[in-house]
Amino acid sequence: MSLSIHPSVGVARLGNADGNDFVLNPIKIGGLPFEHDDNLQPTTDVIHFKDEAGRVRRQGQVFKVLDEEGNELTLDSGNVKSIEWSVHLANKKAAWYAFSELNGNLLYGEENSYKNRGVEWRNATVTSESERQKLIIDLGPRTVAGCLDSAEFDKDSIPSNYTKASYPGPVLQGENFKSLGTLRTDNKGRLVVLGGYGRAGGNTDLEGYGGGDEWFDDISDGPVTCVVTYKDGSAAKTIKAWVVVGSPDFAPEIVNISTLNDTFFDVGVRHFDLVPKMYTHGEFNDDFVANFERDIQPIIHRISQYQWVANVQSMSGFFSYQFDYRDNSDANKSNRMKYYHYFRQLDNKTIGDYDQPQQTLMSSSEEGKILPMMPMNSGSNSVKSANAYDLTNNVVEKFLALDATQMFLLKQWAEGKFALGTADTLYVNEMDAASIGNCVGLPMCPGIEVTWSLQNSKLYEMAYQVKHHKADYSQQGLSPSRDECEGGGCEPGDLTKRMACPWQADFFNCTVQVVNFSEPKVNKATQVDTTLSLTNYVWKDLPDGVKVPEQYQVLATQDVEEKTPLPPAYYSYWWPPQSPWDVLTGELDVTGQLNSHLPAGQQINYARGINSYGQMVEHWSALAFIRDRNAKSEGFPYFTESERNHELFDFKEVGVGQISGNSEDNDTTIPVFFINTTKVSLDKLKGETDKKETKKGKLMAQYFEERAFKPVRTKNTLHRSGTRMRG
Amino acid sequence: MDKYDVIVIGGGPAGATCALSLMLHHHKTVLLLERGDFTQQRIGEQVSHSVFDFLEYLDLSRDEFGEGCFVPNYGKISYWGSDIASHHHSLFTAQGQTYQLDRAMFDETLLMTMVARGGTIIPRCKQIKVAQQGSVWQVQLSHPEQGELHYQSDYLIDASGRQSKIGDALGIERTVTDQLVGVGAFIHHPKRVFEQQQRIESCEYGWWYMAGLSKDLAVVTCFTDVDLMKERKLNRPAIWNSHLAKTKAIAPYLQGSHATQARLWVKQANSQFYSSAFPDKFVAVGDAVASFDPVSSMGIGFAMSSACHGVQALMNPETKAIQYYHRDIKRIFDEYTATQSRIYQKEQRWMNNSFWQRRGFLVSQGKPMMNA
Repeated sequence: MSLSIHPSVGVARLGNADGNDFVLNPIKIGGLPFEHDDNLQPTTDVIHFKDEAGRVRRQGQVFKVLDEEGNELTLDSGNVKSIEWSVHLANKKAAWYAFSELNGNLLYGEENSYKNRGVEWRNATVTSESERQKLIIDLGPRTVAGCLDSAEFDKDSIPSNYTKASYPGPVLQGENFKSLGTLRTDNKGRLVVLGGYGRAGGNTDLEGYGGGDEWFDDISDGPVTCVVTYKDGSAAKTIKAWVVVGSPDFAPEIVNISTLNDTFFDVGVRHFDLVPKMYTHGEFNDDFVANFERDIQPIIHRISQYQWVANVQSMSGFFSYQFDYRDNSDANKSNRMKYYHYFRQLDNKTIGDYDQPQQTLMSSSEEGKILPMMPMNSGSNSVKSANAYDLTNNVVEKFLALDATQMFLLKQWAEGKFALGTADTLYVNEMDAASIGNCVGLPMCPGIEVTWSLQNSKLYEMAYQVKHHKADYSQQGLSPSRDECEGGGCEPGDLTKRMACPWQADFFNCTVQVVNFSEPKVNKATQVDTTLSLTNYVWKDLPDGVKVPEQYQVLATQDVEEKTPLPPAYYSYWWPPQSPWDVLTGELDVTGQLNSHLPAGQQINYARGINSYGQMVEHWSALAFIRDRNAKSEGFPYFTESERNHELFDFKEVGVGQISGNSEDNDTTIPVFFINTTKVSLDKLKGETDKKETKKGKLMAQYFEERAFKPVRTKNTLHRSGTRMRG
Repeated sequence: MDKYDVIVIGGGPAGATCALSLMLHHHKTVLLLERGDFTQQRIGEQVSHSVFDFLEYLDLSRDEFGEGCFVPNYGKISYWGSDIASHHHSLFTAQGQTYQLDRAMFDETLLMTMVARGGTIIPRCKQIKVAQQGSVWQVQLSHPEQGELHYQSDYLIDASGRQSKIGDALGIERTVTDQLVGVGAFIHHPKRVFEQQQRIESCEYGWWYMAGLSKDLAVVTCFTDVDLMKERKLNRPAIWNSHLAKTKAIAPYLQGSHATQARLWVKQANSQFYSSAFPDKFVAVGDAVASFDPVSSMGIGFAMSSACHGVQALMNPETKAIQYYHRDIKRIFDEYTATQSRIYQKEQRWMNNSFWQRRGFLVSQGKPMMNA
């Protein structure tokens, strides 16, 4: 009997609360994580995402073993003697190439390889292969078995036969490295993987959304292997899966329009015959009958949820039910086709072809027929004109399109080829869909959990199965330079190595993007402001015949701002369900509102008060979780901020007159939130009641430590991405 | 590695006072190392009016501590030596007006002031090791996030409290004269009856103490000897409760209230002092140099006075200054011992019980019970 691990690709999420204070993964796309009991059995929906000190709790991923009928095998199953789990987590970020948007993506062919594009390595001053290998955070594999076992991926527990372990030493900025995570088993022998503690540190100032040299974070990924042995002596079975550690999902109930599950499904359909009726011999089957509830309704629902984390009012027509979306009659076809045609078609992934649908913003240029095309997100490269502004040969992808399979299903729906009601056939195990379904699928620049490499079928063994490169790395360690996109399977750390280092840099900068929509070849250009002044002189008392010029032209100033989005441009979002931007305040009591300085129900910038990369590295856990406060009444969502660490931030209203010099302007003020680095308000500390003394003490201790130990500095450089104007 | 003029070990009132005094009067750079993370709930204590003199010496005004930090005591009711209540300010001192101190507010203000004035504080210092090399103090410690840290200084101050391990490490002898412990809990009452209420009541195995910390929160502690606590299992909540229920003055007050935590805390409350000479460029202050029975209400006042005098002695170029300071400490401890004995002597009802017997013994012998 064949066995399999589910989810086939699990997703754990890091947190900085104490190691034993964690939640368990959601079990559906858009679900909440779970609380658990001492046996690690899920109990109820998460109560608090953070601990008492305002630190984010880690989210563990449970892995289960199923037989081919879908029945679970645990240590309680009659014939099972043992279940042994091995996991090898690693972080290869510091050893990989600097993130360079779509450069290096081999789906665009060999000419787009890192080498041909001349992409630089991170930490380029380290040159030899053996020294570069030491840039990898690799503490070897860990094994757990039986009930309630545990193992930590720290330096004190490196397996004695593992010869190539390496990890970051003490750093000048941020925090020192501690651990990549923890393995646990529950009381039935299931595996729980917990990721790192949200630590990041480095020795240079952070420069951009890709991070900086000599930096590390404690994100990781790697293979999961399970060996099941039987009491009756039948042959032991070895089965495989993968696990990815992501940053916290700050809005777990809000789902990306194109999730990582959609990516896996698309690759499975088009490369691994996952649904032969839908796609076979390199072609979609135009007669395929889609299912509204399974294939279409989730897309509409996700579009409807974006409004809680982003201002995308132009998308409101796509969930307003102005016609019956479930009506598959011919009479309704023109409505469905209209809806469908507002969705951007996909680029053809050909280098040098600029006239492509994903470079187009609006549905038309004719006034009265203008609507930004769907989905209204940035594409996977709206940042740079690739290849160092060599316009002859670039890969620009300004705006988002759904993936090929999503677009096909939407087309079938538009044409009326769809059925209604709960689908008989689910093509994917629900656990497999739920884990990655809560990750970003598109756009990927690089994304936040994983990136475009997973669009490449060479990373897969079969649909939904990440291919393992080798089983044992104890002698030669991991490769710092091998590109798994060329084939041969993945090593520990390969799925996350392209992501920003540290992840906070990308999270901070990549929520919104101002995208040029007039020049298909160009995203940004250097802006030169030249101010000329013309002076008129009138000369008197001059003798006749003497002439002096009456005008002088003086070149007064020249401001150069490099790499700014070329106008005309459009305010676009990346993946707001993961990195929210425009959110509603949610404090409903006096203390909460006094602490937050805002009434409830006000739309406000989510990251307010975090004003630099460095602050994001230190204070990411102060951000709110966006939660549906009316979740028990389905269909009537009310998402607001919750659990934001207001205590960290100071608030001031700045009068416009302070900038204009006109005191009348001070009747209009701009709210400003910031972390006060020079003092902590004693009033704030004293304002709490006696019973909260311990919390006050904790805040005080944190403050003292922040003062005593070095802060994280950010270089005052121009932003490569995003915008400096924040809500 | 960082170098400071002075390293102070311990972040209570004694340590903070040392730091403030060193910075204000001697212009020294100060590093203060604290074992905990300031989350432990601290028990309010009584202080006399003299505390304001020390604050003035540190250039701190009473207002900076915030409202409610010093609440005047309107007397305390004690059942000591008889079943009849007596009202007086303090069993021990004749110092006039006393104040109930909000320890959290008090400690916070001292520490925040120290940092505001340019001092450095590191909480969560574990495994603090000290050694004198030549004329330089080397201090090593382990921090949960920063790892192994190493600092140097010219002077070292031990303000790390009753359970100081610095003295042991430096070979300083400590004389311990009793084995008193406090077993207690924080009690919450929904009807807010506790404000400014203090009650003390003796019993055959020791004495009970209740003090209102705010309107709805009080601390209740049973003081006894550690062996008697073990014998009677007084650290078990059920037994502690049943004994508390038998008190005449305190139990009626607590009707309808409940403990804020499931577990009781147990704290050393014994009397002890450093009895042998200090190394060069070192001084101990507060509970570390001498600690007293809580019945004396001496803790905070002594912490501040010993800190101010200890710093003066340490900074004094005259090498004998430290010896004079240490001699003063011994004198204070002797006076305290005499007064402590007088107080326990007032209770004559349970002379056959070992708690009172031991303290009676103290009176007749006039010397320490044991050496540690």
